[in-house]
Amino acid sequence: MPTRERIGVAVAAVLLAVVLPLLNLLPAGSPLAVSNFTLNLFGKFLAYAILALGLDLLWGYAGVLSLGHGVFFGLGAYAMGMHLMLEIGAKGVYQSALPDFMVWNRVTELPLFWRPFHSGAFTLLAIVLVPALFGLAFGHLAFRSRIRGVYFAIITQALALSAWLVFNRNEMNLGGTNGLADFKTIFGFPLHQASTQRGLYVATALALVAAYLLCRWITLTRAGKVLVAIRDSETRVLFSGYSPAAYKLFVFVVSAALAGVAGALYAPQVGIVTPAKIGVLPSIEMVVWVAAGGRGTLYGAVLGAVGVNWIQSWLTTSYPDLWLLFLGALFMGAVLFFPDGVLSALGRLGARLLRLVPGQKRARLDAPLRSRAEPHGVASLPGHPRPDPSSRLR
Amino acid sequence: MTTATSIIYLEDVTVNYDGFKALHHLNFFMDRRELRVVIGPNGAGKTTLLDVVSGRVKPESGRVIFGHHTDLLHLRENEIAQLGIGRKFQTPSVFVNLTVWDNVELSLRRASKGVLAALRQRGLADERARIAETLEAVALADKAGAPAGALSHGEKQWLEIGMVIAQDPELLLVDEPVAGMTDEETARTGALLERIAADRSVLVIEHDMEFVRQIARKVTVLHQGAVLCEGPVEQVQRDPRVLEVYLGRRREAADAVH
Repeated sequence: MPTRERIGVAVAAVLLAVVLPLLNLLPAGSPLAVSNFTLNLFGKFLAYAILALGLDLLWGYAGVLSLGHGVFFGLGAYAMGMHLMLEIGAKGVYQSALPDFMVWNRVTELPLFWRPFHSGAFTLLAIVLVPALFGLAFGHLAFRSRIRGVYFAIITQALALSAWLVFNRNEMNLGGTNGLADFKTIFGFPLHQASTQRGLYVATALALVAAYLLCRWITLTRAGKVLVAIRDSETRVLFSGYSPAAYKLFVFVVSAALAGVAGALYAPQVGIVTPAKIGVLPSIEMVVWVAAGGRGTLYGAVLGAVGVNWIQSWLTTSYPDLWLLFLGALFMGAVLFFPDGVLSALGRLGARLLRLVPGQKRARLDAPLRSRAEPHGVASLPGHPRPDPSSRLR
Repeated sequence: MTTATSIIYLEDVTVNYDGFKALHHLNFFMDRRELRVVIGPNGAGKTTLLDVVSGRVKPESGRVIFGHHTDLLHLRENEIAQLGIGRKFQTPSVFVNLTVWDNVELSLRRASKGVLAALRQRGLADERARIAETLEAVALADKAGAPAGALSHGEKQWLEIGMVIAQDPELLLVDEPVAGMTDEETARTGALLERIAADRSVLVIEHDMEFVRQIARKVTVLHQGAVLCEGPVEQVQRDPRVLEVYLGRRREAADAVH
């Protein structure tokens, strides 16, 4: 990793994992104090950023657009949610050992697949392994059949839709439309206490740093170069002796696992898990975070996830009607005007302005991976497979 | 039957694209260390021949044997590449977002090109020497750090040839290497291919008869998915069947043959 990036990561890690929680400890009146509400909000954003990192690795590097990552996020969130439901024990409304919604649905016995979630250790494993294994099975079928580009995006969208339908069903014993909620404790710590929430926030920040380092490490190895190569010319990769399917499967599984971790950190901080987090729309929103932040850079994914959600929470409280319009505009803007992300577009604008000032040296641009060889416009639609001149239809 | 010295051997190979027989009971073989040029009118099955050998297209019937007894029919493209068959595409196919150096590094022959091997490391001294040597051979040493997307068309063609050489293949399949090149680039490419053919087998598909005359020792003419005739370039050019095939199809091609 270049020194500049090392310093950047270290500074960001200290700011997010140490300084922000310390500011939260300040008395409420002091000017620098960070409220519990704000810290909790940030915890949610950082959880999203973990997912965005995986999505960027998949889409920004390997060029595989997934419109179904809400599913993997949901699997992690539900795994954690199930454990939290069981931790409630008999303290629920119906004083039963079963989760309230089961009593309400006249379920008399805890379903078999719920039982292992009594164990905290099993839950922690499941958070990573359930989405990873599901991603492995799904990705194996898709990549082996050489489904790529737009077609892959479409079947992942179908996955998001079907998963949403399944999780909505009461017969699944996952709480149906209402999902899982009213959590009381996590590993024995009461969730309503500020100290527990602060701990969860710190855990999320550390997980984000670890996820960043993992993704960066992958991109710096030869495997990372193969991922970029796959985006450039999958055929050439294949004829150079690599199996693109194996590499895509690998990165798909990594991103699914990261999405699961993100979901698991999201659940206790937000306090509710519903199918609304799984479907088509949330999955597209996740892609917008990465597109807005600038794909193929990793830090862009983090900034995009935090930035877009920050704006969302501000807009939805101040101007609730504007949010969807803004989201749509952002997506169109990302496609038409700033395929490298908002930051890079601002950087270009800044450079252009600097050039207008006489005597100023030209600003150096941190040109991200993509733009160089590609014309703007429709051809650079995110996820639109780059025309591979050597490929012809079989 | 494979001959003791053949590098690639196709027997009775038929490729059927929804009723169109791109290859029709084709028999074809090449000796080791041979530089062979395959010509033929459009639709004769030249590129399909490369597709079959490199595993991209699976024939409906026939046998494809690499070396002494390696059956290629059940292998995937990347497995065939790992066996030692390299392919250079007609339009340059390089990794535009990677540096010239990285393009060659990814192509280097290695025991394993799996994910786990690629996550463990990189950058060994002898690897670096091989990359530098390859870049030297294709005259791109001074552009090693540049993104491949910034190269000119001719340089990209050369880079791709370099990438295929880096795979250290026993057999190189080269599809119209000089399409779109200047005369000077064409001449240099011809010399490069002849150097490569000194210790490898090279199968070239070409339209440019000037270039064919420059490099070819033995020429195979394909027509309607089968071999029409085979022999030294002068003999093939005078063959009345060849003239007829070209005359019947394309005036300018016929002129090119004359």
